[in-house]
Amino acid sequence: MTDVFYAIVPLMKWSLLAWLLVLAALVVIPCLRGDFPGQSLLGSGAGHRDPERIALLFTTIGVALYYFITCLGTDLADLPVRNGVIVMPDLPPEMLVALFGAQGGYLSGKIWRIFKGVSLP
Amino acid sequence: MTEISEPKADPENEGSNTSGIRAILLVLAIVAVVCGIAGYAVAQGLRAQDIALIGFVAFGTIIILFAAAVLYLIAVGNISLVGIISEPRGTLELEKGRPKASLSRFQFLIFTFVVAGLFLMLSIEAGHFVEVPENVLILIGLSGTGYLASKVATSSAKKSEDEEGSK
Repeated sequence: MTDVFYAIVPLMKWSLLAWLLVLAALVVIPCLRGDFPGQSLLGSGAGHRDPERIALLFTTIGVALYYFITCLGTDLADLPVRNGVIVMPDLPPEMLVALFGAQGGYLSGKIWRIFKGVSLP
Repeated sequence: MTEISEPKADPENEGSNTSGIRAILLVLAIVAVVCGIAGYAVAQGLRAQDIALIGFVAFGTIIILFAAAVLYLIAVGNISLVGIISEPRGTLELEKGRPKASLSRFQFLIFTFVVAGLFLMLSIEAGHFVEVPENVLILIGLSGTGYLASKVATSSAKKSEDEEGSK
C-alpha cells in the first residue's frame, strides 16, 4: 500500500502542473487573440504606452517566472527545513524591492493621470 | 349549485418533490456504498493506514475530476473569463462603455496562481503542508494592496466623473 501511495503522489503533482498549464493557456490564448481587453494593460488610452505600466508588467512576469522555475528546479531534499517543516524557496529581497518600486510607480502614475484629467486624442 | 372542481395539479411542486426524493435516495446510496466499502475493509483486516489511503485516492480522484470539469467548462465558454483582468468599464473619456484591462488584477491573478499552485504541488510531494516563506507572503500582500489601491483610485475617479456629468 505504501508503494501505491508513493506512485500516486507524483501523478497528482504532475496532474496539478498540467492543470495549471492548461489554465494559463486558456487565459493567455484569448489575450493574444484579442478576446480580452489586453490592449490597455500597457497604456491608459488608445495608442498610449505608459512607462510605469510597462515596467510593472515586465517586473511581474519576471518575478513570477523566476519563482516558478526556481521551485520546479529545486529538489525537495534541497529545500530548507524549519522546525521539522519544509519551507518553500524564498524570494531574493532585491526582487521584492524591484516589485515594490514598480508598483509604487504604477500607482503614482495612475493617480496622477486620473486626477490630472489627462486628455487623449 | 356550485360545482366543486378538483384542485389543479401544480407541476412545479411535483417536480421539486421528485427531485428532493431523488437527492435523498442518491445520498443514501452513497452512504450505503461507503459503509459497504468500510465494512469489507474491516472484514478483510485492512489497517487504518490502508483505509486512509483509499480515502485519499477517492478524494483526490473527485478533486481531479472537478478540476477537469472546470477546465472543460472554461474551454467551451460556459464559464466566461472575459472580466478576469478587466475593470467593469473604462473610466477615461475615450474608454467609456468598453471593458478596460486592469494591470493590478492581472498581477494579483498571476501571483495567486503561481504561489498557490506551487504550494499545493510541494505539499503533495512532501506529504504534508509546507511553510510559505516571509518574502513570498510579502509579495502576495504587496500585490493585494496594489490591487486595492488601484480599485480605490479608479472608484474615486469614476465617482467624480459621475458627479461632473450630473451637473
